[in-house]
Amino acid sequence: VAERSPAARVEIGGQMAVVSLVIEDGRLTRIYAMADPGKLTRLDAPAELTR
Amino acid sequence: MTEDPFVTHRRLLFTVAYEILGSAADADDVLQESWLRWARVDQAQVLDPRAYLVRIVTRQALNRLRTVSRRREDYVGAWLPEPLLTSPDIADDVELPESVSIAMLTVLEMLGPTERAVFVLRELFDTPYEEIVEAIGKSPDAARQIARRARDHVADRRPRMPVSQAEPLAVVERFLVAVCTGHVQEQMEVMAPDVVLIADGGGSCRPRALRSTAPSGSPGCWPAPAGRRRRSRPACG
Repeated sequence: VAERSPAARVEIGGQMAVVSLVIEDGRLTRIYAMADPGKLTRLDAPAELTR
Repeated sequence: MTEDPFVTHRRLLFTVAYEILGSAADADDVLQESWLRWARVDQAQVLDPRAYLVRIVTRQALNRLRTVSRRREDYVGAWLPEPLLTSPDIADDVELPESVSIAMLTVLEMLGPTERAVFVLRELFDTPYEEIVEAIGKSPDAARQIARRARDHVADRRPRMPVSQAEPLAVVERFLVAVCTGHVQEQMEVMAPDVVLIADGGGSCRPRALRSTAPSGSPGCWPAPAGRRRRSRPACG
């Protein structure tokens, strides 16, 4: 899960953001930073996903 | 009394809608609309409720995607998918966690609405073409063609996820230590030369603290080490 494409919730000066990282060949290739408060409301409980 | 099939398959239906839309809020709305439709159906006549429900949800999600994709085009800055916290129990599934990663959802964002729905149903949910055809209203040949195009498109752009699970975490740890201690040289070594930062500040502006992280920028641009940092497992899968 998170190990394959790790992400972290960070708080900078009271502002919440989620940073998701892509690692290829041992190096960071992409950094996604999401700071839209409206989009960060579902991080307290796991989402119910299945196939 | 047996459980309503909608309730039985709710998790699956949410996942389908979320993969097609990249937004949990929109996926919830789609499930709501789909439930209303389902409630009006003569359910005794439905032979395969699961397939029927997936079809309803796909159609609703497609309609919704067509509307929101226009809005996403006008969005100021990059529009990124809504991250979800994934539970450890989906880790047994090799493909699902990757498919809901922000990286993968961002790749899916580049597909057209129909392409995306077909890709999601075919590649992630193994939906037979006969069912896809009914959901998207195209001929079987057209559906196959769309699926092939979408597959090629995704294959060209999806990140090469490492096989080993230990490696990414070690890299992240190295990176975080370098950020916290202000070791620019070390930060640069952990980042690929063509590293890209994609930031979604909510459509009004770019997030100030995350404006730049490029090796050429000052390390202060990256989230300040003084900030309280809580590591968790936001989906991003």
